[in-house]
Amino acid sequence: MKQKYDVYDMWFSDHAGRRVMELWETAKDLGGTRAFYESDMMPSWKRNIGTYEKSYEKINKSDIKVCSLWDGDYPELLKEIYDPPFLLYYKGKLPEKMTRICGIVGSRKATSYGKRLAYDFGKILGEHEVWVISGMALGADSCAHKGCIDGGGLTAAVLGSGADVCTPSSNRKLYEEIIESGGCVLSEFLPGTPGYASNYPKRNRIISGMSENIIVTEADEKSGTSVTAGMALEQGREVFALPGNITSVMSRGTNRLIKEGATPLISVEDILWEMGIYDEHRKNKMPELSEAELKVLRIIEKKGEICIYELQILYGKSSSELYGIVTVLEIKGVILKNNGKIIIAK
Amino acid sequence: MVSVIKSCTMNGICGEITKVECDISRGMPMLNIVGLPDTAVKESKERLRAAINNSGLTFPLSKRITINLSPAGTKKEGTHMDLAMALSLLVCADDIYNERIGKYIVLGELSLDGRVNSAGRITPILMSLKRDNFKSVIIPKEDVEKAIIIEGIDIYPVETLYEAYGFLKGTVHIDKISGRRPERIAEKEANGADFSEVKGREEAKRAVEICMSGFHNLLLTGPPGCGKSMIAKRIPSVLPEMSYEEMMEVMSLYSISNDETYSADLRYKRPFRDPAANISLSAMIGGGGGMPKPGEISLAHNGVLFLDEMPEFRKDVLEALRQPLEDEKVSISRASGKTTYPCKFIMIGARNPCPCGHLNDPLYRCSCTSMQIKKYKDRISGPIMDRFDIFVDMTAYNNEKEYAFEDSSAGKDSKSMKKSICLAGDIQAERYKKESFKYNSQLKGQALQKYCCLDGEGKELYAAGCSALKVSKRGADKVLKVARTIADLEGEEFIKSVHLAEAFQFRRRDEAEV
Repeated sequence: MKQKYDVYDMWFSDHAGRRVMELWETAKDLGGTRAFYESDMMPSWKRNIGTYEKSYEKINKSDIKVCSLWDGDYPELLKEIYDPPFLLYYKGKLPEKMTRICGIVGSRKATSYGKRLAYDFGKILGEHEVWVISGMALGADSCAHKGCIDGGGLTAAVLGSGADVCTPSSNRKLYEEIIESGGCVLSEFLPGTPGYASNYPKRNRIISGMSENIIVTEADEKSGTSVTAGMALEQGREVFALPGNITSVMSRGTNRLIKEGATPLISVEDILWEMGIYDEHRKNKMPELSEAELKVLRIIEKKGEICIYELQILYGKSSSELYGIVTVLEIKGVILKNNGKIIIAK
Repeated sequence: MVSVIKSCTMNGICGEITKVECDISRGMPMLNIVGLPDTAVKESKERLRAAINNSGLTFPLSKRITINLSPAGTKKEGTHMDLAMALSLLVCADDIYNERIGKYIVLGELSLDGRVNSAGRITPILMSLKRDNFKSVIIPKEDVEKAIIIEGIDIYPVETLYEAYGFLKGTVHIDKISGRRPERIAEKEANGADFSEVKGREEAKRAVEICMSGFHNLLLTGPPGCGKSMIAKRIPSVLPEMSYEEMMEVMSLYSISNDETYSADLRYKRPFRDPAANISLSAMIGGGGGMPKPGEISLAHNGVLFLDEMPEFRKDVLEALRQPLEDEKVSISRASGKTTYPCKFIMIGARNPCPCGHLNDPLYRCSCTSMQIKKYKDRISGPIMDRFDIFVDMTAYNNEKEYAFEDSSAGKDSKSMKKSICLAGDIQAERYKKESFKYNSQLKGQALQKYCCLDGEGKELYAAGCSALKVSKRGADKVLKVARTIADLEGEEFIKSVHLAEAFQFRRRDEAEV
């Protein structure tokens, strides 16, 4: 089978780093990553192409999939950040387009409060079909993944090692569960790469980059989690923080985030409200919605405010059918249409 | 001895037979024309004398000549009775009147050398003659082109008075020309403007399609540059062709107004009128000196009246549209009498959401106060708003690039729109062939109940929709009519709930909140 990427793409991905977009433009002008490699523009990078040839063979034989920046299934939001990874290696299934994604990050040294709420947030998001993105580290990350799986949702773990290397290895069970449940484990690092400490800040930018918003459960003042939160703000993501006791060391970071303007979450359901998703209580009061109606509602929820033509493109069905669905949703009181814009009725 | 030649006068769009009677008796030599002639008719006295003499015929000398235009009580206008008067005089002088002479209708103006000039507004006259079962007409040769499109009429074209008189006497033979329906001509592209060029406005395009099919009135609201005028410009490209009868009505109206924009070349094409916002009341409704002329609403008869920047129209002009929109005809009363012109048209209005135009625009900030916005919206009064069946709000996009507007395959083009509009028109014509109306928008009361039945599911949706969406009774009827048209567009015999649901999208929305 013809691969969509080649050895040179892998080489390029690994070296480009923060200059990826700029270099990719150059490579495109030259005619591809291979031409870029052969052009001798970066002679110091050229030494170890043999490593990539070996990895390439290895990936072909394993169940690791690769997705590149120009592929259709590359996570939409991740494309928007300054330095998206050129290639993503993953196991399982990437989130589809138009799915809602929320990141949860928290300290590895989480308190029981942090762990419980990471689990609860994971669960409630999972129940409402929101993908939960986290880092599969011990503590809060693992709890968030578990909660999401328990809630029947899909979750993605972004690793600081190769996607085939389970880090930490004690999380082997969770690693498999994530893939089995229909989620994925992904990484920008070559398969087989161990979890070097320097990889983690890079990994964190993917977690926030893939998500619409980030929940910070707990963080110390100078910690990887705080760095992730800062990165999320830089990427234009909304940051939600869990308020904690001011005496708790693990809540110092989150409380500071709130002081600096992050939105505090004062209940588990709060996140649904903030993301414009109906909570269970509301859903029960609502009349039953058909599958098509739900799909339309999801799109509107995600966009917040949408006009019918945008909706038509995102929904992809004939206009007359869509008009019907919109009318029914209006009758059921779920949405409002005014001045040509459709919004959720609150 | 008295002779009688038939001619015609105009009253509104209708022609009335006028008998031109002539009596020659002994007495003081004079020529009198009676029967309420206007100046143009009175002056024909001089033309008669010169034309007859210069044709080599004899003008009776030393006689008292009286010409009466009967019915004598109605005002006569125009010069098209010259020929009839001359012939009546000659027939009377030579005393050759017989029944054959009496069956012709004579129209034409005389010039001093005895030639016959154009009679002017000949189309409406001949049309009403045809309705009254008169068949044979003697008309100036240069008017043949205008007359030939009237089916079932025998035309005897004449060039000179001598020829006309000879024909009546039986000494000159003139070949008869029979009027027939003009053939439909293959359509010319309207400046190449096509609906496929309108990207990302599928909702408005769909609304246009529905309007044109069922003769509904449409109001477009949107910020400047969102494509309202662009859409309007392309409407002629989807208008279905008129029937022969409709075309004759339109031709007569244009003929009366001396408006040359609608010529015989256009044939079956429906008129599209877009008067500027500074139009006066009489230009809109009809009026003017002498016999009132048809206004824009009548010139848009059987076609489209597009009012761009509708709130900028004068208040009295807009208000005057109420009755014509309801009755499909307009009566213009003047001291000189009352004239009625038909005006069944599709009204398409366009307006901005507020005076600056940027209300709800994601890119620009609206600089209007809420009072200004209210005042602006109130310029189109409630009763006029009530005449609209379909409302479309067009928004500005903040991220046009995202939706690949250049992808032309996404939108409908004029050809396919026109095709479905014609299909819907045919379905309506078939369904309403026994009724007095022709389009879904004309459904009222009992007819609405009869032709817009809903199935169980539809009834449920209709009731739920009307109450949940707070649709007024009148609004509910409109939804039903629009649903009927949508069903026709889809080629369905019965209104299904999906049609109804779509129709709800085009209802009037509450504008209370700004």
